[in-house]
Amino acid sequence: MRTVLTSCPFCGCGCGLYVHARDGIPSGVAASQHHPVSQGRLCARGWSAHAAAAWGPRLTRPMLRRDGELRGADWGEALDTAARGLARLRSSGRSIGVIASPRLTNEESYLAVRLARGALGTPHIDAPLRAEFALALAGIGEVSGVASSRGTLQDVEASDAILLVEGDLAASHPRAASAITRAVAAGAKLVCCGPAATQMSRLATLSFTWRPGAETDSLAPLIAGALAAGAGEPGAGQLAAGLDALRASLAAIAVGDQARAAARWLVEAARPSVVVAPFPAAPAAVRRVTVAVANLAALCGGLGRPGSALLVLPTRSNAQGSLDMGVTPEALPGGRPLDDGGLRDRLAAAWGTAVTADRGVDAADMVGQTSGLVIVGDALAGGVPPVGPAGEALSGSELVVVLDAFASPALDAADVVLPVAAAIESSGTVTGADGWLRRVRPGGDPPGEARGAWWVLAELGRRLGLGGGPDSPDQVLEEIANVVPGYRGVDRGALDTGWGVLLPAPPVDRAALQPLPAPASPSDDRIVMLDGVYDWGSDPLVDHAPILCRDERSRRKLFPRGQVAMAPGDAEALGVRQGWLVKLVSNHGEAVLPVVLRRELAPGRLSVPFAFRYMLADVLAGMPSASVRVERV
Amino acid sequence: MSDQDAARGGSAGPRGAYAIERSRIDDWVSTVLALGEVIAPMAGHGGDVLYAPVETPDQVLWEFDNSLHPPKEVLLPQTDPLFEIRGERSGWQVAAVRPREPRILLNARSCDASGIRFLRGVHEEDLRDSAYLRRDADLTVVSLSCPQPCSQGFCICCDAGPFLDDGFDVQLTDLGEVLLAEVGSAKGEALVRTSDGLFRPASEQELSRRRMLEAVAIDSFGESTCHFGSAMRRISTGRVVEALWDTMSDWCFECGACTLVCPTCYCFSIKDRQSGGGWQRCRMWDSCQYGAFTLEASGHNPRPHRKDRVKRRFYHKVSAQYYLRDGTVGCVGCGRCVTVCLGTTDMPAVVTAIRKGVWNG
Amino acid sequence: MDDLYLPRLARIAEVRDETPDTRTFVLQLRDGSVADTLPFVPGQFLELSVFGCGEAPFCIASSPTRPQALEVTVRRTGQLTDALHTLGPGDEIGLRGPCGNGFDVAAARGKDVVFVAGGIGLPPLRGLIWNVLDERESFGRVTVLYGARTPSDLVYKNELADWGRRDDLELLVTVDRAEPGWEGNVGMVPILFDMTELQPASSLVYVCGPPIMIRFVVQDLLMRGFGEDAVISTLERMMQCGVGKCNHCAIGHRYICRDGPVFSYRQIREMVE
Repeated sequence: MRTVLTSCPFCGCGCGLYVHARDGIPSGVAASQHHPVSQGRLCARGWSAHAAAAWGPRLTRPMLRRDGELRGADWGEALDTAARGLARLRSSGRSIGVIASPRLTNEESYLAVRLARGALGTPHIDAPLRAEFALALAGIGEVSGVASSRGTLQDVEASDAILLVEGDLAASHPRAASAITRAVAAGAKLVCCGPAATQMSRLATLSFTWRPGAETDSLAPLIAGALAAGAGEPGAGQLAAGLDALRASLAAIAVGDQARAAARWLVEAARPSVVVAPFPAAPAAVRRVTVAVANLAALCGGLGRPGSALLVLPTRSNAQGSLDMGVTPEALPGGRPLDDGGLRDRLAAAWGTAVTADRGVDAADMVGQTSGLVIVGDALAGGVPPVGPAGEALSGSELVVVLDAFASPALDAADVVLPVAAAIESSGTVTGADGWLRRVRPGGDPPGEARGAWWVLAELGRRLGLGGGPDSPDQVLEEIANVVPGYRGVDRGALDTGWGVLLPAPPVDRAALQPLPAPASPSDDRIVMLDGVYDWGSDPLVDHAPILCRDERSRRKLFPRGQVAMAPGDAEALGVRQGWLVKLVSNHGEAVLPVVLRRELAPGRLSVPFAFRYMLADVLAGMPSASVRVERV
Repeated sequence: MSDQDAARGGSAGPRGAYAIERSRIDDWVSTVLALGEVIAPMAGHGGDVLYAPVETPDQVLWEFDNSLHPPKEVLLPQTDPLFEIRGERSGWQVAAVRPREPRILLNARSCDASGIRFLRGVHEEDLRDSAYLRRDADLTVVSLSCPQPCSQGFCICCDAGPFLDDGFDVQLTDLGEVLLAEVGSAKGEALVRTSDGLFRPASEQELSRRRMLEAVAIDSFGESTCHFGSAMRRISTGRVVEALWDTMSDWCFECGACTLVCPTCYCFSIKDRQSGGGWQRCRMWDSCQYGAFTLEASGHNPRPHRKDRVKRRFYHKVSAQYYLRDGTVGCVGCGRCVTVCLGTTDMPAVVTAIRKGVWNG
Repeated sequence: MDDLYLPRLARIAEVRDETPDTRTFVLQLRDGSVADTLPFVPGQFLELSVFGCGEAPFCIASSPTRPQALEVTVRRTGQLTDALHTLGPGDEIGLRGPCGNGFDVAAARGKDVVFVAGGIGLPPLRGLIWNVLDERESFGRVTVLYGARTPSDLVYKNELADWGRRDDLELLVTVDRAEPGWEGNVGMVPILFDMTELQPASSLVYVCGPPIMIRFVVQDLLMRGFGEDAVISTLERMMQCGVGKCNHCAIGHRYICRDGPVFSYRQIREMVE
């Protein structure tokens, strides 16, 4: 039996765990008691971190499409074919996209960027779920001047007042929910905001439910309340910047008793923290919400005060690192602007080729629309808007190269399949939402001929003219430590001796409060929304783990036509009962779904599980919520 | 009952007591290493402790806070291949994959030795799980008594520590310059005997020092206790109000960790895993705290709410019905559930809430 | 049995279509006769393995009085049953058992026996019905009341026709929804109670079917004067091991796979979750 310490491959909390392997197969998990993030506490997913690799439909040898069928090939042949095809597209000026999973290690992400912006000369590089996460960080950056989270879950657990903005934190980030719950048990005040009642809102001291489309309207009274409670008065130093404009934007806001109380807790707290977890909202709204909470954090002293955290939790394990490495169409590694000539030169020197620095397109726009597509890891799973049954969506591309550990619908459209290690079998580093760089160590051996994705990406790069190497993930990290801003000079020795390395956070010295948008006009519209932007069943690591997958599978079986939840009062008014069909009509289209009743839903609010988002595609048109008319069928 | 099973008679009590000089302990571990695989507490990363196979005596920890991961993994691995399945639909071969091998679990804490005794009971109860019992019989348990309560432990409430009267093959107690080795079974006797010259009969003085250490340890428990009595009465007779279960279940995040790390939990599922050209039928850890644990093929779920599952856990662990069957509560007081719980629904917290009728979060 | 979880191998000798989604599989053990190596009583179940897919419990639908083969009747409801339905004569599956307590046949001797089945609830009773018919002189009146959603959902159609022709057994059948050509009763199973003469004092009633049907039937029977011990049913739960170890099927401290699946209504009522 072999046991290694590694990072959990599921969400962005960054828990540490030991993986046991028997005969090279990951076969179990032990919690790490002293790991600074998890401290021995793992969620159900963490406890099954070994399972997908051991039980999933693994890809074990390279394959090439010949005469319409995928057939086994050797590595050299498969890599040559992929590289030749991509080179041909590039030389004929056709578009190529690279979609890289936000579960890849930093090293793999970096090599994917090198492949795209270097070897392939294309700016189209992105990760699914990146846009939402980047927008949330951008909102923070608008206020703090630094588009990144601050603080750790340990800080949250030690806080005395917490503002939580969430879709459903208990489901999306159970370990973060744990930190908040322990804080509440120790007496902290918890204020919850989100589109629906949740387990966390039941534990909250106060909770506010917002109307999709009017999210900031429920945050504005908190900010106004904070100002009324004395926040932002002289003495708050640099935070006075923008204060007048903010005050002016809140002039018409009425502050109720609850908002006043909640604001006072946050203002008076010694260690206030703000946690933002994924919630279903239009991209612009995500940014508005984080601007609002960053305002609040700034006013309460939660920006840069030791012990105060402002955490934006991404859905996937290495979303932060992926963004840092430059897996984004809108920035260079380190989050640097595309026109940062100095960085471009350094990258070009390291890569031995010119660096393409145009603005590329988002992942959703690459699918089926670029002539060539390289899909690295479980990159098509779980994105919003839905990519749809992959085989179909990808058919517009001439050449599809898939690097994955598991068989997925993308194989139906794949021309070249390159089997790689599962996340739990990978080596390298990941970066947590808390800014810690941590080791990922192989908890098992990839089956058959599968190789680490870093090796495959390096080989593709070599065949596309990038010269030799790297020969190991550590060599890639060395290069990252030389060129990627924020990672320069990281102490690689400390990665092994300690729990990781805290990357230096830029100081908050350009903070400026931002005005809030005018309140949305009141509306009696019924609104249908996706139930959380995160869903276990859309995650292949859940789907392939025998103990985890059961709930989702059964839910789909029980509701083969999907489901839409509504409040009992609404159902009564419509004259429908549980199981009856209703038609939802939006400006974009319509859908018919059976009704389930849910007491916790606010009147006028309808909710559809994320797993059934395909059934609602016409109604939502790519957004997570829409105003609808509801008719009995 | 096979001879080997009988060899660890639960009620027989210590057979003899020996002493070994501390300076000779490594020599003893070396002789034990020659007898079979030795699983012992080792240093993991950054202060973590893990039970794992050791290769040299110096890897074995003698003073440590108990491992968060229970050594029950030795007998009940999280994924446990039971059979190799080869063939195809018109003809199959099924063969057991468990090799028999002598193994020694060294320095199991009293709670964990008690957990192993508990698991033996449930595998003997009703239909005997002989494959498990063979593996259990092949394992020699050397427990290490606890001169001080650990931070979350409440083993005295469960009759599972800090010192044991039975349920071990050998119980070691650190007396300073010497270690006392109490033998609880023929297997334990053999382990001490094969190490001729290292052990000598313990003196009356050493035995009395051991008794004194036990008394001090028991005295040191203070607040870390868990009073099962009245909770058991209420749970067994259904006199815990539903609203209390409702409230408590909001503080549970269904991670299942309380059951996974519990030395007395053994819920499992059986699944086939692809392996080479065939399949391995595996027994794997499952948890009654997971929503789909009772989900039927039809889609019906008799325990649809988290409350139902929290209730189930405490019924199985603390009800008189199970107490009568198992002869003890389903808890050894190791306190691991306090550490691993994502929420706050650990054993002492829930038992206290049921006893007092209120939940404090 | 040396290892509780080690399956034996059995060959599928015959497959019979019962309804569009239900089939009966006739099984021959590879390593011995049923009578010698797998003695069972009606109401017990088998854990069947489709290798590579897993294991699931199925009631034995045949009678120990006819030990030439084992029969199970399986409706497609999920992964494993789907996989089982792809198998045909000559294919091999794994088998463990018999599991569970089964019906107490001796307790029914000398009494009138009434069988009330709904839909796929007839197979678990079929073994007991054949056992009773094969030892017909030991029992009083035998009544079989059977209901299904539609005529095509009725299982064992040939057998029902045979039973209908026997004069030592009263068979009444009903469907919830008629189809063209159906001339029989239409309505839920309890409507059959008024078409026969029930003798609460001297009868045992065996009820099997969907949970909602069981609830209505039992209510009705209790109102008609049957004692709680005279109404016998089977419980279903998610099962894995079938031998009382894995805890999936526990209700309180009872295990459906060991203490059941057969319980009297009194036992069912007294169970606490």
